[in-house]
Amino acid sequence: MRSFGKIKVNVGKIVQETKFVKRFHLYPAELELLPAFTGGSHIATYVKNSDGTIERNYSLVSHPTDRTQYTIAIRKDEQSRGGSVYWHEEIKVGDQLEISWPKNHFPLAFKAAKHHVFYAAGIGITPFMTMMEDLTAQGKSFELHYAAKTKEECAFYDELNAKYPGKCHFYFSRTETPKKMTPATMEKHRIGSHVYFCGPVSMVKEFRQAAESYGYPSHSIHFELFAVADEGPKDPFVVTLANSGKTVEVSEQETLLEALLKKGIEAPYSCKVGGCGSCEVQVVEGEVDHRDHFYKEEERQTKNVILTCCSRAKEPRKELVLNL
Amino acid sequence: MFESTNLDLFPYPFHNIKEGSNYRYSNDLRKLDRDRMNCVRVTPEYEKQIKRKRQLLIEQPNVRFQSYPHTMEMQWEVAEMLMTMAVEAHPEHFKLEKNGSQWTFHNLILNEKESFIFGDASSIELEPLDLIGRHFATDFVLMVNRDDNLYLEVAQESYAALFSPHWNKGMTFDEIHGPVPFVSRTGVPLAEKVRQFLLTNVLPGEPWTRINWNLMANRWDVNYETHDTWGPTRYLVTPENAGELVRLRVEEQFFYRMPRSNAILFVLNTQFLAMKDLAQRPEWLNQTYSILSDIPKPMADYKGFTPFIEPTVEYLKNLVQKVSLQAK
Amino acid sequence: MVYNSPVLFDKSATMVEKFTVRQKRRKLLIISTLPREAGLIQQLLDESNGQQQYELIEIHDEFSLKNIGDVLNRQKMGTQLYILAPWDEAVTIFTEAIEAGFSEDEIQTHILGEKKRYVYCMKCYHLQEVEVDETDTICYHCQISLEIGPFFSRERKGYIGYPYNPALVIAN
Repeated sequence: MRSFGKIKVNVGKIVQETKFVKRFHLYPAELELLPAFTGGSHIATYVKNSDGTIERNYSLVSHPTDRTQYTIAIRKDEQSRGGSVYWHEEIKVGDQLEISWPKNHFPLAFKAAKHHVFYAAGIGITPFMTMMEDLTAQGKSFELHYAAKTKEECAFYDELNAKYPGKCHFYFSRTETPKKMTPATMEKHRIGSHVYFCGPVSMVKEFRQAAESYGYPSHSIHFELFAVADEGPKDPFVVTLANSGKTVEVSEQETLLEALLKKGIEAPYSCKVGGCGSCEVQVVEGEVDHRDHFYKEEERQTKNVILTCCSRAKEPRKELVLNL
Repeated sequence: MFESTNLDLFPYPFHNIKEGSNYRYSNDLRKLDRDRMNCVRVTPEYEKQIKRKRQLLIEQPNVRFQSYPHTMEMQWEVAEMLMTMAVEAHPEHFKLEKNGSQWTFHNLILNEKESFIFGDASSIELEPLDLIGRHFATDFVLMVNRDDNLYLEVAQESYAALFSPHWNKGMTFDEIHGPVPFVSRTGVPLAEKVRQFLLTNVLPGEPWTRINWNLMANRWDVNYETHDTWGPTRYLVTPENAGELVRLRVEEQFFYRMPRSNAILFVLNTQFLAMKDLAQRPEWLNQTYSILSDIPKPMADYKGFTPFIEPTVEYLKNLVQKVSLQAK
Repeated sequence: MVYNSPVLFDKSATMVEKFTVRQKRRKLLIISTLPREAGLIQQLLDESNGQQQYELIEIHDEFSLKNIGDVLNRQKMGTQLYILAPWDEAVTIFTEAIEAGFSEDEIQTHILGEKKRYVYCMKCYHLQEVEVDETDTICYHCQISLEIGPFFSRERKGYIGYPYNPALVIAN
């Protein structure tokens, strides 16, 4: 049925936001209106090129209740797997592509949330754009801390200043008087504050550790990552699927999820960076090298599960039996 | 209205259980195939069930419908999805006219129409989900994802099985399923496991399903409010009258993640089949008899049919014999 | 406060017999009515052993109870709240703490004296107080017999009361 599955959109407008960031405006190709979404939502984009399909997740930055279009902001990253470079160099106005429905693995806190504080580094600003829109509409209290190299490279600088005067704190590191965004401001947040981090893995790690050291309960700490944390070597391993008896070899270049999908096995997944838990599979036998940000330590001890998008088999056996 | 007359539309609950094996609790959620994602069904009992549902909503508004004032936007989102699904499933029965935000929903079976300004709750007398929900024979429960749980914020319900929108309003998924006395194979409480599964897997645009079942003794629904009247009647079942009095109550559940509210909509399609009608499908009869004769006591207690499971199994045993004799 | 904010009831997750230090917290905030149970507080401070900063607020009269919101609102993240009071005062302090943004994880409650318990009649939706050890009662409002169930509702602020007809109870 048309109401479900992937959504076809047309690229209607492309705006150079900063030197490295482009904004893409996507308009519905078949539906009358796109679904409204919640602050913090992202979409998966599916772009067809000569090698197949490039699937990437991007946070939405248009207003959550604007159903005429979706906007995403993409930073061109020459170091990454090539999705952002393709979007910057190949995508043109008039192109058609498929996207998923908006999904949210980074929602705002609700209960016991008196004040929301966002910490963004670089393009990490994107999920906060829609969260701040929702909080504004609900009349809730929030502030933003946002680090960039320079004012010119700070995406949405003017828009944020105009929309949320007095609530935005900017930190520019490559200026005459450089300012560094540090976790120390978290010491002063009032009781009932929730903190949200989005940026590179190292930044998120630093802020999470600091918040814990200041005595923040774990449910007050929220974060989203763009990539899987780099935790140790990716050695090859073998999994056996208990239900079919099939074996799947996972090479050092790929994740377990990629290996499963390549074999045509219908493994579930969503965020692909170990943050949402969608790709959980029961482990029947074997020890897991957990590399996700989803499970708490006690869950890793007690549950026999693996997130296939990032976790691997533990040394020295390098073998797992999965309930698939 | 207690009996399903078109057995092809009856969601028989044990299809996925291998012949000869028993029924135990597990996380049995399945992702819906593309052609099964639409939850709108029109059975031969549609008009009777709608009539009964509306009667209950009118007589006991407090018992049957509950919501919070902040849920209007969420309710409109659900109402829009239901009307869209109705038109896509049955264009011969339902129509939706849109003139800007002035919408009219036509129900051609009942020859009714609802006109309203979409998104404006002051343009209708009932709340949006209460209004649109009255055109569908299913129950609706909107569980909103807040922090790491799901909370009941809206419910329209006319087929209660130990459930009450009034009592369960505002509760978490875990609190509603508090009495589930079972743990999963990995030792995690089943309610917590299912909740976690729903939160991570039921994503916008990707609905899921499961089938729940129960036995009911001569009742359309059993809620907490009328516990004093239906409680004792459960003891009136005998091996002689079980065929008429006891019904297999099946709840086909659909789960839709709503993108704007981040809620999961539970659509509950409840249908009944009298024990005597199992004879029409001998393979269903044999399997149901085999499964019911092997139900552990804690499960029967939880489902509330301990008082009449014995006479029901006795009745089915006799029916199995009778049907197999006829076949010879 | 939101609709699903915690409320204080006899089985609240915050109820403790003895206060304990939450290692990661930076500050202990102890709010106690007078006369207080000094031993409990001293035990907590001994356990903390100067690792955390602490503030002790003593409630002398109704006036200072009214101002407790100001004390709670000026707290920073990393504060653990300890409530030491008889039931009614504890409810006031707890409710103000939730309003200020404390979560149940950041509160420990020790009740001086009896806890209160309520049952919600599912026949007529009336809430009434019951004794702590009662399993059955009669609804004051509609006179029906109620079996007191184990489930508590934040929304209805009481335990479920299942209506039953004592004349029709069949022994299992």
